[in-house]
This record gives sequence, C-alpha cells and structure tokens, in this order.
Amino acid sequence: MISLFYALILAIAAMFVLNSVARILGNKKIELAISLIFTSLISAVIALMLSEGYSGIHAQFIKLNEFSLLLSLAVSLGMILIHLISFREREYADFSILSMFSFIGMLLVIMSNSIVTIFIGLALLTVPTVFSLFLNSKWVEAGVKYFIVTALSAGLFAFGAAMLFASSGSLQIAEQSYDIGNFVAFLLLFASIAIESGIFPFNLWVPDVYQKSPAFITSMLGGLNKKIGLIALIFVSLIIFPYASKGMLAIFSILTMFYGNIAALVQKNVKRMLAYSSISQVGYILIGLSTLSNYGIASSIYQIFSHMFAFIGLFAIVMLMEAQGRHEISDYVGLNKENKIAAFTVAIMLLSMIGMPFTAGFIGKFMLFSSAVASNMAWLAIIGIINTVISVYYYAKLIIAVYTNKAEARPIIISPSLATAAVISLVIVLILGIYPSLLFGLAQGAASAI
Amino acid sequence: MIPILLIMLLLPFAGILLAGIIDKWANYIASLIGLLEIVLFIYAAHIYMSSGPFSESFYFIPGVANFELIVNNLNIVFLFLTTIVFFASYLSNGFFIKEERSSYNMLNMLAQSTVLGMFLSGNLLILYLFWDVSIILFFFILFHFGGLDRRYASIKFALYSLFSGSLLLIGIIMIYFYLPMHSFEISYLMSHGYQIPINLQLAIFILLMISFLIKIPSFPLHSWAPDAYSEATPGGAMLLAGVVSKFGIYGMLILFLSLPIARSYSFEVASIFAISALYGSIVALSQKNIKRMLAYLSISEMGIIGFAVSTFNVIGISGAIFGSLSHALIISLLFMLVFLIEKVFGTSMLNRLNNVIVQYPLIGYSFLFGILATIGLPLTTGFITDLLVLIGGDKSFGLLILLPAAAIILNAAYLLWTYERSFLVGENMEIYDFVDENAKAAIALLVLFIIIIGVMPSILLNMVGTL
Repeated sequence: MISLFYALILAIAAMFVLNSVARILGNKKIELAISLIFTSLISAVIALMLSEGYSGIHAQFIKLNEFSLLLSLAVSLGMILIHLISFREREYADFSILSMFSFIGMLLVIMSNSIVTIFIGLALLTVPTVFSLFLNSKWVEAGVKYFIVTALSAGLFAFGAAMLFASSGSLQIAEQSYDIGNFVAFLLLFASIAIESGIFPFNLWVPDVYQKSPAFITSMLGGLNKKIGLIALIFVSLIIFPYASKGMLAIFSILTMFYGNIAALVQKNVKRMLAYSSISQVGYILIGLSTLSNYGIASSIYQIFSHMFAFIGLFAIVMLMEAQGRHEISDYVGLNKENKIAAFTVAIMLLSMIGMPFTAGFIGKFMLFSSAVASNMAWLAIIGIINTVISVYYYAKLIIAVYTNKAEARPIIISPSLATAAVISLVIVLILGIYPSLLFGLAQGAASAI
Repeated sequence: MIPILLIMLLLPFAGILLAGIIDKWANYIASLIGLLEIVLFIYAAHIYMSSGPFSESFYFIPGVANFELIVNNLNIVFLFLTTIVFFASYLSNGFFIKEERSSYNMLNMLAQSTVLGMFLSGNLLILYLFWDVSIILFFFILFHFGGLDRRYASIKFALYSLFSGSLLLIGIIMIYFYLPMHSFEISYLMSHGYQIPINLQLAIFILLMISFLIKIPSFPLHSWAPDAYSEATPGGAMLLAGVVSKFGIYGMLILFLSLPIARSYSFEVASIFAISALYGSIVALSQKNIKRMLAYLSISEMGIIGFAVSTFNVIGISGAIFGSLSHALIISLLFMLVFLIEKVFGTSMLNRLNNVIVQYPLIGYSFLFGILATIGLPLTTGFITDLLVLIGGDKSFGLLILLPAAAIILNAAYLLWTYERSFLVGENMEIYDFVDENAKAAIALLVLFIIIIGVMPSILLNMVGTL
C-alpha cells in the first residue's frame, strides 16, 4: 500500500513530466488541463492527509503536520487560480512549466524541516518567477529588478544559515536555539525574508515590480510569493528566535502598515495601488506574528488565506482590464455598466481587504486585532484600526470609480477561465466571511502544530 | 420550533432573488417583503408578550461568538420602527425611483436585513457586523441614487460612519477581553459589566460614546448628517434619519445599562445632548432649504432622545425608547412629504414655495400633521415623548431640562412660522393633481401609526415594561 506522502510526490512528479510533454507537443489546452488536474489532485491528497491528521518527517528535511498541510492546501488552491488567470496569455505555455517549479518551491518552504530546505525552496520559488518575467521584452525591467533583490535576499539567507550552522552544528530548525552569538544570523535571515515578503524598509522594489509585471505574474507575486516569505518568517523568527523577534516584529508591523497605507493614498495606477495595499496587508499579518501566541499565529494564517484569495480574485479582473489597456483608477469608471460580475468581484475583494463584515478579511482582521489585545498589546490593535480607517480612502476610490456611471458603456465579455477564477475566489472570500468556523478550527490546529 | 427571527433576517434575500429575476415588479416585491416583515414582527411580538424574551442561536465562530438573535424589552420597539419605516419607504419608492428600480430595491432589502440583524443580535460581534455592513449599503444607496451633490455627501457619510464603526470595534474587543469570562454576549455584559476594571470602563465608555455621538448624530460630530439627509434618495433619507440614527440610541441603552461608570458621567453626557438639541433648533432657524431644515430638526430631536437615555431612570429610558419610535415615524413622514414637494413643485427652497396647501392639499395637511406631531400635539406620539422626557429629566437633572424644553419650544416656533410662510400664504392658486396610490398609502400608514400609538401608548410601554 502506497502512503499518502508518496502519492503526493508521485502527483508532483507526474504533473511535471506530463506538462513537459505537453509543452513539447505545443498544446496550451492540454497543458492547462494537466496543470489543473494535477494541482487539484495535489490539493485533494493534501486535504485527505489533513483530514486524517497525517504527520511525519521525511528524509530529515521535509516535515508534514497540520500547519504545513493547511498552508500547502491554500497554496495549491491559489495555484489553480493562477493557472486559470494566466491561460489566455501568449506566454502561458512557458509560464505553466515555470510556475510549476515555483509551486514545488512553495511546497518545500512550507514543509521544510531544515534551514537548507527553506533556502532551496525560496530559490526554487523566485528564480522561475524571474525567468517568467523575461518571457516578454516588456516585462524585462520588472524581471531585472526582481532578479537583483531576490539574488540579494538569497545571499543574505545563505550567509545567515551558515552562521546558524556554525553556532549550533545542525541545520534542523528544531535544533537551533537563540543565543547572543547568532543574533547577527537572525538579522541576516530576517532581512532576507523581509525582502521576499516586502516588509518595510525592504519593500522599495515592490511597487515597481508589481506595476511593470503582467497582471498574472503580479497576482502570483502578491498572492503567493509574498505569503511564502511570511511562512518562512514564521519558521525563522517564531521557532528559532521567539524572544528576539517579539518587539521587533511589532515595530516592523507598524512601519509596514503606515508605509503601505500612506503611500497607497496618492496612487493613480491600480496595480501600483494594490502593490502598496499588499504591503500594508503584510503589516497586519505581522501583528498576529508579533504576539507569538497560538491565537495570533492562527489569525495570521487566516489573514494569509483571506488576502491570498482576495488578491488573486481581484487580479482576474485587473487582467481583464489590462487586456483593454486600462491601467489607471480613472479607467475603471463605469465597469458596473460594462460587466456586473467584474464590478461585483472588484467591490467584494476590496471590501474584504478593508475588512468589511461577512467577508474573509473581516474575520482575519478581527482575529488579528483581538490577538493583539489578548497579548496586552491593545495599542498595536488601535494602530491597526487607525490604518484600516486610512486604507478605506484608497480602496473606496476604486470602488466608487467602478460604480460611477459612464456615458457610453459597451458590455465587456469575460473569458470563461477568468470568470471561473473570479467566481471561485469570490465564493471562497464570502464563505470564509460568513461561515468562519470552516477554517477557524483548522487554523488554530495548525498554529498549535508548529 | 420555527426560527422566526432567522426567517425575519433572511426573508429580504428571497425578495432580492425574486427582484433580480422579475425586475419589472421589483417595487411590488419589495413592498410585499416589507409587509411580510411586519407580519413576522407581530408574530414575534406575540411570542414575546405571551412567553417573555426569547432567543435563537446558531453556529458562527466556535469558542468566540455564536450567531445569536434575541427579542427582549430593549430591542422590540426598535424592531417595530424598522419594519414600519422600511415598509413606508418601499411603498414610496415606486413614485420616486424611475431608473434602475430593481437594483435600488435590492439594495434597500439588503439594508433592511442588516438593520434588522443589528437590532436582533444578542451578541456584540454580530451587532458590529451588521452595523458595519449597513454603512456600506447606505453608502451605495446615497452614492448611486442620490441627489446632485451625492458624491460629497456619500463620502462624508462613509468616512464618518466607518470611523464610528472602528471605534465601536475597539470598544467591543476591549469589552470581550476585560470581561471575566471572555464573552461577546450582550446579556452577559449587562450582568457582569461592573466587573471590568474602572479605568478600562472609562476608556470603553469614551470610545463607544464618541462612536454613538457620530451615529446619532449629535452636536460636535453631526456634520455629515445634513448633507447625507438632503442628498439622499427619499427612501434613503427616511431610513437614515428614521432608522439608522437609532443605532446610536440602541447602543447607548446597552452601554448605560451595562457599565456603572456611565451613571457617574451621565450629567456630562446629558449636557452634550441638551446642547445638541438646542444647537439643532437654532441652526434649523436659519436654513433656506426645507430638507436641511428637517435634517437639523432631526439632530435636535435626537438630542432630546439622547438626553432621555442619559437620565437613567425608568421614565426617562421609556421616554427614550418611545421617543425613538415617535421620531422615526414622524421624521420619515416629514422627509417623504418634503421629497414629494420637491418632486411636484420642482424646488425645496423655502422662498420659492408658496401656498402649498391650496395647490396640493394632501401634502399641505399631512405636513401640518407632521409638524404638530413633532411639537407635541396631544393624541400623537410626540406628546407622550415630550412628557416622558421632561418628567424623567426633571427627576435626574433638575433644571437642566430647560435646555431641551427650550429646544422643543424653538422647534415649534420655527416650524409653524415656516409653515405659515411657505404653505399658507401666496398667490399661486394652480392645483396640482398628482396621484400615486402607493405614496398615499405610505403617508396614511405613518399618520395612522402616529395617532394609534399616540392614543394608546400603553401598547408599546407594556412591551418595554419596567426594564
């Protein structure tokens, strides 16, 4: 009898081989079908493992428990949406295989049991993303910028990992311990991960790269890559260096929130504004991490879910608009007349990012702020709420543009794959908002498993 | 047992689905839903009168909050006014809204669901959820369907209200963590609120009071209200002034009944509201637009009701609850009439209106009735309100009641003066003959309830009981 873990490995390998074959045959539809079938298969296997309470360590470097399984599930669902979003693009044939590498990298980071696995996972995640930015000469600027920062990040990470190994003699995450000697290692690792997930002040590349990348790669950068950085942060700062990181994470959380929200206020380009908004979302997630409590980590996981689906779902519509050359907020005027589903998706996703009740974003933010109050950091919750109020201004600007009437409005047709992606993420965001107990218990179990 | 409160909450969604399918009949569907909600309310009130407060509980966030709906002596009157005012606004929609009827009615029905949910919730978290969603819905009602200056008015409304919502959220989270058994339940808060440490009680009290002052709206934080009321759709203005402003009063009632610190600061709160009442009257005097005048009238009246809550004695609080109902019925009647005037005569500026009573007797006489009810004509609800508020105020604060009393007198003076100038005098003798049966029915409904409850206040005061 084959164990579920080997089924998972087999599915990943089969997906990779079959996708390569389809690439050689040159058929986009078969590629999409294979990617969707196998990503769904992987999600199904992971869901099965999660429901069975599977846990175990494989070959010293992969660790499966509730935490890694839950987040792998989220990432695989996100990956399905990314495939649906990117299908109509000319570059999909190559992007499909490259994103598969990234997907494996993400799973490696999430399931990592040693520092080296995190390092390999991050490299496997970022390098293919850089290559997919080189697929079209229009995106090269973003590609080069992303390449430089990720190279820097990888260098810092390798250096930090080496220092950890020097002090403890082991690469396992569980065997590391904090002492004053390896504090520099912590700083290096933190800087590396902060670059990856866009924590202030390591986030200066984010708006440029997000704006200049095509929408489907931006949705992957903001929806998945950034979240993987945060998961790596959970391993590094919460497991290895809990005491060093408590106050530090709170300070970085405040700076990141304010930076993202205030800079987003003046943006006119939709993707640039969403880039700043995603920076501020990282700030909110850091609130939960800085409490170091189970509840705080659970709330961060919830917010990671909610922002992932809101961001990717929103970019399905940004994709649609971009295909018509509409980039600015003022270009979105009258979308409601042109396509009701697209307008509704934009509104709900943005409301979820604000944290409006009955969307996933509310439950996430509510849990984050209450975890701060529970850990006697009510001031952090208050700063978070002030930031939420600031953020209403720029989110509302886009919602208002979408629902403002335009004189001549011709209906736009969404391609089926984009519509599917938008509707799936819409349903997920609403269900997580209306029936939070679906994920709440799982997130708490995951938080106590690490 | 049938989950009647959940049905009340979800019934508008059935209406939304129907209105989405048959958009020609959206108005009728909405009115039907409004009527059914009244029937359901009567059924719930019957259960409440025969077997006391009851609740329904569903699964929401395990271990943190249940989705709990209650009916008790605090919220029953608010549920009543919600169903009545919404029904009246649905009836009038057919006359006012000609374009995008189905989406307007769908938004309104969704708003009814959230407002009912806010008053029904037995749990602070659920209360906050509905409170915040209703802001977004009313924002869209204002923004998409409102008058000429709707953009400014709606954004101002949204920013003020969302700020108030955020303060409420901080307050609620603080209450949750500083109650001995972490809980969001309102009943638990009321019985154990005194166990929160005194300095935290003060912080919670200040946060929530600012939030409620914005929502009511009361004097220093009221500036969104005149814009929002005068730029809204007729139904929107009726609902904002009649129903949404009661959110703050309901919140204040819960706050005053649960935190002991509220009692020691009740004089300060009462002073704010008394000043707000007088301020509203004085500013209303100088208004040239009758819609803005009514907006300031509403601020003044809400000040009087807020004053009644802060008296914190049985008579005062009964007065506040009763006054909320009275104000909701009267102000929604007045707003509907004013929008009818604007629609029929093409203007709402006072100096351009004359001899309305001859030109359109129905509007003229109904408006007179509304004014008389506002200033406390015996046998209307306004009279009972003024009586209860002044007696209750005298018991708690003594001479401070002179301020709200002055506001009542001032309101009477300028309303009658305005009526004389614009409705009675003038040369224009042309007779308009607009017939809209639904709008007439809405006027009749509101007038009828103002009289019935004014003649027999015991119907409602029995429901409220002795608290």
